[in-house]
Amino acid sequence: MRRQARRAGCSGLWAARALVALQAVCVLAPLAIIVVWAFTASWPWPHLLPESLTARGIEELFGPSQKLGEVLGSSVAIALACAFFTTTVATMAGRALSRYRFCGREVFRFAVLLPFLIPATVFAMGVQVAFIRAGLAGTVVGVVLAHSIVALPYAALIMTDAMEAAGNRLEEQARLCGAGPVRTWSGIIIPTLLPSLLSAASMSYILSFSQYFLTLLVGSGKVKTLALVMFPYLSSGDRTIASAYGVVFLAATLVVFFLFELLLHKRMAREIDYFNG
Amino acid sequence: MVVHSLKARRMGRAAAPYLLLAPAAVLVGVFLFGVANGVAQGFGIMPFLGMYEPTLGYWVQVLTRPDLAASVQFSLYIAFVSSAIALVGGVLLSAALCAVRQTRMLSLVNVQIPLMCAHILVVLFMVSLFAGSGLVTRLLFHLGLVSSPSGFPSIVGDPSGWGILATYVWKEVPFVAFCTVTLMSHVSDRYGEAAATMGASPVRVFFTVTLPLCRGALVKAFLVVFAFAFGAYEVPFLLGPTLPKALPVLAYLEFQNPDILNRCVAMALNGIMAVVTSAAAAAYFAVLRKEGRRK
Amino acid sequence: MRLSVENISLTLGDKKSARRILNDVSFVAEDGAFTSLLGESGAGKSTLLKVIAGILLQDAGTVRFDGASVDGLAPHKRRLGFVFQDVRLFPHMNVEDNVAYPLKMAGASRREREARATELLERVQLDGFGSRAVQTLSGGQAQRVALARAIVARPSALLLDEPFSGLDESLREDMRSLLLRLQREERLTTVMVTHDAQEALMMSDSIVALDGGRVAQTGEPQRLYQTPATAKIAACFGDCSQLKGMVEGKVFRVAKLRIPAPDLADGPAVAVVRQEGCRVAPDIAGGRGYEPAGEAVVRCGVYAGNTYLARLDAEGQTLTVPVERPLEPGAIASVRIAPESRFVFPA
Repeated sequence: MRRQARRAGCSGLWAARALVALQAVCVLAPLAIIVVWAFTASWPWPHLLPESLTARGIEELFGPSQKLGEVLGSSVAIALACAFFTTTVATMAGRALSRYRFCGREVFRFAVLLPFLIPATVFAMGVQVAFIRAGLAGTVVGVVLAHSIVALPYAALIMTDAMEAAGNRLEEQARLCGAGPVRTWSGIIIPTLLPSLLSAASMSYILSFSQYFLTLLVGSGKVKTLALVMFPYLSSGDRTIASAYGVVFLAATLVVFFLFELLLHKRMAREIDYFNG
Repeated sequence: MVVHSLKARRMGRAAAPYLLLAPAAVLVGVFLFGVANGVAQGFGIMPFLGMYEPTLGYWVQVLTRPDLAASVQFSLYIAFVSSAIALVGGVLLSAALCAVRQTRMLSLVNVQIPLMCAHILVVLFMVSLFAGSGLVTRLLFHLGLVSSPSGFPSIVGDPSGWGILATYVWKEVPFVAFCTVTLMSHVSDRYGEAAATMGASPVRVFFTVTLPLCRGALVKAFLVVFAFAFGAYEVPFLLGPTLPKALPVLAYLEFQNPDILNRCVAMALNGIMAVVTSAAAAAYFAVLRKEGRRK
Repeated sequence: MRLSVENISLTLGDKKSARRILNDVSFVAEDGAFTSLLGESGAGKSTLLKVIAGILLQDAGTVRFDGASVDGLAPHKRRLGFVFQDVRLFPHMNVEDNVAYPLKMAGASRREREARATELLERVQLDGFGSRAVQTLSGGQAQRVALARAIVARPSALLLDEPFSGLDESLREDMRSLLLRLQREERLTTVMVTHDAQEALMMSDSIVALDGGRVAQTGEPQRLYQTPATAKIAACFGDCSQLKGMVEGKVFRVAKLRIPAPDLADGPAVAVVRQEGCRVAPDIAGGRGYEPAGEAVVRCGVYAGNTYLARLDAEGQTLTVPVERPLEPGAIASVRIAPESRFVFPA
């Protein structure tokens, strides 16, 4: 009887391993394919491997006709600005929601999540005129603002959860050691929340970087981001150019993500997990 | 003087949450203003054109147009099917991740990389895999199942919308797993052993303990995926059929019409989206309230 | 510093679940004295300590340091040392930085911080631990670091919230004497919250007993032990039995037991009998301070190591008495109780 149960547990474990492996293949295979396509000169049907390779796609992207460097720079700048701004706003909101009891708390907690549920398309079309009249349309500031609205729910969720889990133990102690509010934040709260701050920031970065429709409407075509210039190529025939865009897009997301991870590890290297340990 | 400063401290503490929330409230305010503005335009209120008189004309026009039912149906179908698959797949993935020893690498590949990829990038992935010249059709040719690039149902423009579904599933299964995996591993660590000592098999533990305790998180993840798949523009625009068009695609088409009055039509279409997603939002709020009470 | 708490009241929670935690609480901790706040959990003692520290804001009343109100001061301006039960070392700093943190906040120079932190670590018997990560410390070591951190900046008072209840019993004794030594050396006004009456007796110059958010009694340990003001205070020191009964004609009666209650009017009452002052007749043949207190039926006997205990029945309630030999269940025992070990309070 017991052996049977153990066998069931074992086969369950194998099923789990198989599922995890399958998911890894599903994720990595398309990544690999677009990398291959980005460097493919010719790949006639139905060959399984390309016939010849070329760097034409990548070269063309950064060449004089596409000037991708500039677009890439502004995309990264917008996304970083959005990450910083959103994380700051979300941290403040998370602080209020996790630490204080006040009238309307539940409503606020929900309101912050609304951009999660009501589509950005509805918001974008509705707000366009207002942005034009406020002089925000077609400006980087307007785009960052719009992106931050969409990223806020994610960041706010992460920060509220993190602050609820951390509790106020350490900051109380810091205050009693004579630290004022500013030094409590800079010396205790921010360092201990760093992992969550970085994950909120990288989430916001990614969301900003991936926005197409919102950037299109709020940016009025004047603010160019990678998602915007890449979009027309997705449905066009030149698979090499489209894939080259895809590779650059992927790289720009991954590089920043790993930078954040690196920052975190450098900071946390000597620390064992204190809260769960 | 002394009493005064105790009062000052008390007032400071009472005001603090509102001050901390102010920036977030401004962002949410802009968001709600945008949505409300759009809804108002659907009723023909466009102050910038001097139109102040509310009318139901555009709604009537929208609700009586022949292609509306098909569009709504198509969008609902995409949203329901993709979020249902994402839910089931996400639960399975999350359970599998809890069962195997979690490493940073695994969660990076299984969950975080898909979260990082933009939807338009995933469209590119799917096209590279499944289009006529994609790798899957090549493989199928070598297996003798397909004889030409067109022998496989096209990923772009197929009325079943399977390309859209594939994109959303690829993207949202890890999202659902992301939303549940921490809670699930916590729950199964904490109660799983207790249930196992009472003689429950792992599968029964999963269905009788883990899943019910994760229900709130799952419902929330489902609603978010549903609302997104219902209202997003990019993927159905790139991969959807010419007819019926997904609701957001239809709305943006009207929005772009040179006749500015067509904006009111677009906004009425957006209004339909807002109504459906508001229902999802209300459900989300209900889950939140329930969780709040339990705490 | 003389710390005085005057008429503090505090209600916590939302409107629906509002609960009066502190109700008109007043006491004084004299300069350089060790004061314990004693009470069971929920008595409001930790809350009171947080009000003194300025973390919680009272609804009414005043906290004074040397006569001056500190109600308007934020916690970090009150110059206090505080040790929590859950230690609360900063996880991203090593031991020395933890200890030196209050000095850093006070603006001390690096050299001064290092010197003083090293000195304090030595005094809590942790010399050489400065560069250790706090995660590598044992429970007792961590609490000693917390203690060093609390007194490093020469605070005007030291507040401790159940500082030893997270530690093993064997460690607690050492920690208590370490704390007392440091407190004497620094002449620190100290307020410690505890639920352990024995601990309060042994450590304090003065005890404030809290019950249900009110002060039940204040005074020197001897006073609380010898003339407790309530049944709860009487019952918290050592092993004892509590019996509900009636006072009739200055005598407390329950079943066939009789305890004198000269100051009480007739009516329902509670008697508290300390085990060590209670015997049955054959063991002590009268005199020597034990007075007859009626009879009771033996319900059962238990072995308790150095002695046997007899459980006597009193209308379904239990009077526990140490006996030299186990008694037969059902036997009648005649009880004798020393006057200083029996207390009767109106119910």
